[in-house]
Amino acid sequence: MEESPSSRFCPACSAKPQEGCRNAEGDIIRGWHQERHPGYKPPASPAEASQRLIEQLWYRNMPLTLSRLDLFDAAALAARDGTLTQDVRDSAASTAHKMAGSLGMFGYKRGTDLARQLEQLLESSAVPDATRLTSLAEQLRAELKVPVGSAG
Amino acid sequence: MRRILIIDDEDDIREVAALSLESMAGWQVTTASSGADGIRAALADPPDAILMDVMMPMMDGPTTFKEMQAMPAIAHIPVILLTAKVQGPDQRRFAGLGVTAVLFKPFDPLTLADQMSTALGWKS
Repeated sequence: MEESPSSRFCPACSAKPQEGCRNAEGDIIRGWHQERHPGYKPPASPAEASQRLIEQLWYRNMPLTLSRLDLFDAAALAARDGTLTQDVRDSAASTAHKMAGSLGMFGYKRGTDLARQLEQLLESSAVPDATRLTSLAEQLRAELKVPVGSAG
Repeated sequence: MRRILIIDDEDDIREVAALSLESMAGWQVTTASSGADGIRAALADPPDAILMDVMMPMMDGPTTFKEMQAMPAIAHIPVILLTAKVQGPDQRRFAGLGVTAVLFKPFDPLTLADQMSTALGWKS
């Protein structure tokens, strides 16, 4: 395998060494082949290199983000129906905590704030206000620019 | 070259923090996804510092830190806790543990290395 500037990811497509890089058509190119990626320009600084990789990580983690947003939607629906169980509530609170701690590092500072509000609402001793829960879930999805049903 | 061990159960946190420290500071980074794995990694190859999440399943950050403090081989390694809990009581609890510093999530990937360097006294 060729030497890579990063021990973890190809800077051009974020593939890990064992995955191999992909070309524009989505076909796997084995090994580190950043020079084969169309339009690839080396980053001008460590900060730019870091930002590019972080952006690629965001898209790589999108399936997890979508499933988390779906969980909030499900919790909000259950709250409206009066069927929100403690397990779902705890799971949603834990998920909100994780998102509060991570969205800001991807540049979604308001996302962090919304996730924190969700966490506090779900962790409070009172029964969560279904309207507020729904509103926060919708605002978070809008902030992350993910349409409903994206997970399929 | 400084060597850092990152302990966090969240994949994206580990990955972004590692990328950040490698790119911005040129540090050598290893990672672990649990307190138990982190202790094993630290014993196998003691790092210069540990960046560790507070909330982890099975064994949380404070518990892991206390376990490390009881192990002479790694008790000396400075530990920085990383937490998304910003309420006052939580901050006081963590500060009372004896860790080197507590940093808050979400961190800024472009300044994490700087914050750690300051906390660890590595800045000249």
